Amino acid sequence: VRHLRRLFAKFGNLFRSSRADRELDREVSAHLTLLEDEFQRRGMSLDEARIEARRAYGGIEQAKQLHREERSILWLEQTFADLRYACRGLLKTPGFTIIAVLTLALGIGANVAIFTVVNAVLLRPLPFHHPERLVRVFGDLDGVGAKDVGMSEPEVEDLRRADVFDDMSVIWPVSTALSGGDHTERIEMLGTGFDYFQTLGAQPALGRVYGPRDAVPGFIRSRSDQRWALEAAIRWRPAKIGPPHSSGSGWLHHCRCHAAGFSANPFPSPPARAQRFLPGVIARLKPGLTVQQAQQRLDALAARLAQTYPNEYPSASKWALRLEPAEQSLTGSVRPMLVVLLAAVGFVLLMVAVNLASLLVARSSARTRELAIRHALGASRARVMRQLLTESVLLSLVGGLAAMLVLMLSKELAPRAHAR
Amino acid sequence: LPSEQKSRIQVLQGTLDLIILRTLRSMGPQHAYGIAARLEQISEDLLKLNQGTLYPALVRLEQQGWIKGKWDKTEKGRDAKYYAITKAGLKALGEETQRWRQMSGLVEKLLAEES
Repeated sequence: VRHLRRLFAKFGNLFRSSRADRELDREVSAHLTLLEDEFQRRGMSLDEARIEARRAYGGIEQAKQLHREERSILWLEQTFADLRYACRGLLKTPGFTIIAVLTLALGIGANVAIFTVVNAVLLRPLPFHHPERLVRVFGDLDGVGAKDVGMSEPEVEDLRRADVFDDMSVIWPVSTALSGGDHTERIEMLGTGFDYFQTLGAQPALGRVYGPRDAVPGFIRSRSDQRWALEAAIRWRPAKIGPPHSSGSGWLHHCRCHAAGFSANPFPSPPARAQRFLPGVIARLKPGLTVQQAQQRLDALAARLAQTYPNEYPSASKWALRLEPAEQSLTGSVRPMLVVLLAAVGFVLLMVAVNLASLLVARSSARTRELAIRHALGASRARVMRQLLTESVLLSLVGGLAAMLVLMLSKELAPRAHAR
Repeated sequence: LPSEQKSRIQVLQGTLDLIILRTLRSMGPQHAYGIAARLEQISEDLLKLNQGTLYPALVRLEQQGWIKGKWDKTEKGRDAKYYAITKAGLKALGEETQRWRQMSGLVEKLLAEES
């Protein structure tokens, strides 16, 4: 308790330094007066008593300094003094300050903006349960140089039985229009199987998602009385316009529609292996299975299927199954671009730093007089360096603050500009 | 003179607080000069003390809430800040005295064994 109490007292004294100094001065001079009285009583003259009193007291300034160190947190007090001084100095040279702050704001702002994207896209794991087990499955026809040719329904069923995945779901990106509100909007959707959300292990922010218990056997071969499940992820919506159906926050809709558009049976029946209408598969590996091990099992599966159905998998086309971690397949195309961008803004920041350093050097050569006076008054080299460092830190902080301000403003303004 | 300096002892680190508290308890509220004078008197000038060095200790004790300072007049009408020991200070004095006794007892025992 007493340490805490002292800490509070010390913090209090940070801001009452001059008052505490006056109080100490009064106390010291009272003390000296008492000493002088005593020495005079012993028969000294006034002058002798005065000298003797100072001798008995010891170094007055040293004692005051000890008192300061004891009553307050000295380095913090000095830092405050430096900060005050730095503020005054910066305000006195507005041209330098504005240029320095703007340069810093540019460099820091660009870096923060790009890093925000890099952090969200590349560094943070996908927001799902055990994201490292999520994979995409692709069918390739290496013999004819075709990648990602899609899957046919029997192939998906084979994958399901391959003892490699816990869950899997077909996915089907669709670009379409959403009408029904006061205006029609272009949206990006993802058609999925019923087990999509279970595969991801994701929970809806709002409402209910479809799961395996909603499944209708053979739903992929849609008939007019079967329901088609859709997740409509509305990719970009200005917050001010609001959702057409006003059913939620407006960023994500999960809607369930009757598949009027698919009412005619579009798929041949019985399904043919080589007719690959399903564009993609996302799956969750069984626990403990690495991507390499799973890939080996899929290679074996592909070989087995090629043997069983030689007509549908001609050896010349070299049909193969390929696994890719979901994270990689999501970010793979933008990764090099983002890395290049990050490096570029890193260099911008470097140039900003060099620029600012030379500005500061120019400024400090104009301040040699001031620094010389400080040295002469007894400031140590370290103390002067600390003061200059405090100034630089203050400048960087103001620059960073300006950058944050610009970023926040741009975040505020960008959707509005987009809405127009 | 060197021999004279030798016979005077420096205040042991950390004992000044104890000495001040003890002085304030037995003498009642005192100003810094009074405390210093008392110390010199008791130690029969054996204890060499720059009186200014009392102040850091006083401010430390006051911040810990063990003593409390108040401006007043001396008998001869001079201004002086009088320090009085507080309740917390009395309690702390008890504890510190206990600690000191243990410590000095230990040192005494060690020294006796050595000789």
